[in-house]
Amino acid sequence: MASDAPVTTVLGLSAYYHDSAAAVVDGGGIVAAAQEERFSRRRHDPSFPELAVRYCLDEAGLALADLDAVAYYERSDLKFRRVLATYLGTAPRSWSSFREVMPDWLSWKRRAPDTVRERLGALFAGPVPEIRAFGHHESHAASAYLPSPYETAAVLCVDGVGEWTTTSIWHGVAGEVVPVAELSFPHSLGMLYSAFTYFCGFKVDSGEYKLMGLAPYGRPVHADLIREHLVDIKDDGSFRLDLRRFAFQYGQVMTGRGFEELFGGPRREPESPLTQREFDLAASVQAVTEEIMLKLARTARRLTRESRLCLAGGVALNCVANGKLAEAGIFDELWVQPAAGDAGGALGAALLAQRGPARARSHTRQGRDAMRASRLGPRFDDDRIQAYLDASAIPHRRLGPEELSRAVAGQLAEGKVVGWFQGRMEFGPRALGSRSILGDPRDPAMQSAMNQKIKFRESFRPFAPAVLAERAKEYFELGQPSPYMLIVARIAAQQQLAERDPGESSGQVSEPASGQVSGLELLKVPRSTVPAVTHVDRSARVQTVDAEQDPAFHRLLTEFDRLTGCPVLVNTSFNVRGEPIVATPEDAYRCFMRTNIDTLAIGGFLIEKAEQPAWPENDNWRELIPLD
Amino acid sequence: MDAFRRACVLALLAVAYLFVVLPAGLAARLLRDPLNRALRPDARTYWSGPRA
Repeated sequence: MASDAPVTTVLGLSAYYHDSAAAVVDGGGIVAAAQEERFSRRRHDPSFPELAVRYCLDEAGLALADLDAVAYYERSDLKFRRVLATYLGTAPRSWSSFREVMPDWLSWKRRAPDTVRERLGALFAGPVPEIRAFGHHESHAASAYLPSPYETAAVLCVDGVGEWTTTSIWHGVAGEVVPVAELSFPHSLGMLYSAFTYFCGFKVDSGEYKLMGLAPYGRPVHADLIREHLVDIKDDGSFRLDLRRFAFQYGQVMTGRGFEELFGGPRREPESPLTQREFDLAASVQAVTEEIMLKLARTARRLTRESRLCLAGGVALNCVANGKLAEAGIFDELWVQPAAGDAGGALGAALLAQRGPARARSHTRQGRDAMRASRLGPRFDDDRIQAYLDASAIPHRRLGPEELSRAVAGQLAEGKVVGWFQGRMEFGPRALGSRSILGDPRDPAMQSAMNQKIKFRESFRPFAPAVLAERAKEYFELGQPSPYMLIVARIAAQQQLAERDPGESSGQVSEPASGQVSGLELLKVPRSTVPAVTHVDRSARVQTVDAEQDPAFHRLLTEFDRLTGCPVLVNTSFNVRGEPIVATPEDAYRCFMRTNIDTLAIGGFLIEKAEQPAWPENDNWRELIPLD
Repeated sequence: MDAFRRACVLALLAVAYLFVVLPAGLAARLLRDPLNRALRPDARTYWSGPRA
């Protein structure tokens, strides 16, 4: 292919570590993107995203041979060098890790583009297009800047690690991402946060947002210890970890004995009761993370002289830190890639591979981003849903869009919990009103009911609100739109209730006689007029819903507001703990029947739990889903 | 057969680790830490320029 030939239609891939995904872009923009886990039903599935690729090609109406190129989201050759350098640098302690991972690295992982070519060739007919590999952080940066609403921007990418880079600043300009500065492995903010995730007894690469949710229950009493003994932070936000207390660089665990000495004991065993120590550790690492992110942002502003910031990388999913960034006013505007983790790398790589008019066109959007409200996954039309309902003899009613909104809003206003399955599936970890479970946020019992009886998850975990975009400021101190639920803001003063809990201002959690600290103790105290979405520190992870970008969800919120005077709903992902968000009508009905969701609104159909036949499963299904 | 193959692979890895990785690693660390672990409390910054 001539080097200056236009490259328009591209399949992007991320695979082999966690959150494999595929994305297709063409001359009109982003056509499709999806994580493999949604199809394989394996949470954070790292395997080659065959099912996601098939979906994306089907959605685009393309065969593999129709593509101009395939783009892979990282340089496996450079990553291999980092892996080798790490083993060299940590021998002999690295032996147990070396023996586990080297066979795969030597046989196929170090030449991932060839491995991808072989897989695509085996799965699809016809020649495999040219495969191009881009840098991991470059892919993140592209996923943040190229679909953003901005002509030019500073771009900050922060994660665990790509090839070598863990933190990078870029300048997004004229459809390109130009590297400015970076920090390298093993000095990683993502690894620092994951180390505390591990030490507090949660799973690495999936439990970080639980640690973030835990933080408001504690106080940052260990922040100084972290700064003194774990990380040296410079004024410009650059940092280095003191590796003597960590184990991730050589072992298969995150922390060493140094952590236990520093924080007064061994790590918390998974699923064991949480104590004040974990709450305080969460608060402390969160405070340090926010400090670093703010300093990184100031440096990004100084080096690029841009007034808008784009964010990506796994740490960009820390929406509390994003909220502090937005509040700090370092930048005039902030945009976070909805799939900020490695799944988004597939999209970034695809966009990077485009050349010519398709790439030049990526910034003519008049202030709107190009993510199509991050609804990039499969949709199921009413005929398809009807066929499934009929084949499975599922009692249902068929309603028009307005009637459906009225019926669902009415049920929500009565305190029922509704599974909402509409339109194209979201791309990224958040449910945004396409694959959501919804509830009434005014109900103080809703948070505990949803955690215990529907999501089957830890009691301390908060729920997040969706709000009509035009009414958001009445309920939240939010200075900008938040369509992707990636910014945390305080509840507006006029919605807050007077402080009643004597322990609240100190952040102390009262300990029952058993010694087990329970989040329910704090959560039972209403803090606002929307208690189910108000976290214990009076914050919320807000989704603003725009009529143009999401008419169906906006219509529902409008109807709920008409009935209740409240334009807010609890919006949580349509899944139970440990499983991926539902993708198909079959997934949705299964989740609906396994839980205490009252009603399922799927396409133009309303399905009432009371009318359903007995579900032919006992509760043992929960044992089949690995806990996250 | 599979167990035998795994044992052979493990043995080869052990030999590689003992005779290549370990001495090369120790030698490399004498010259320069491949992971740049040293903290520099008096330095103003840890930023480096873009990697080629």
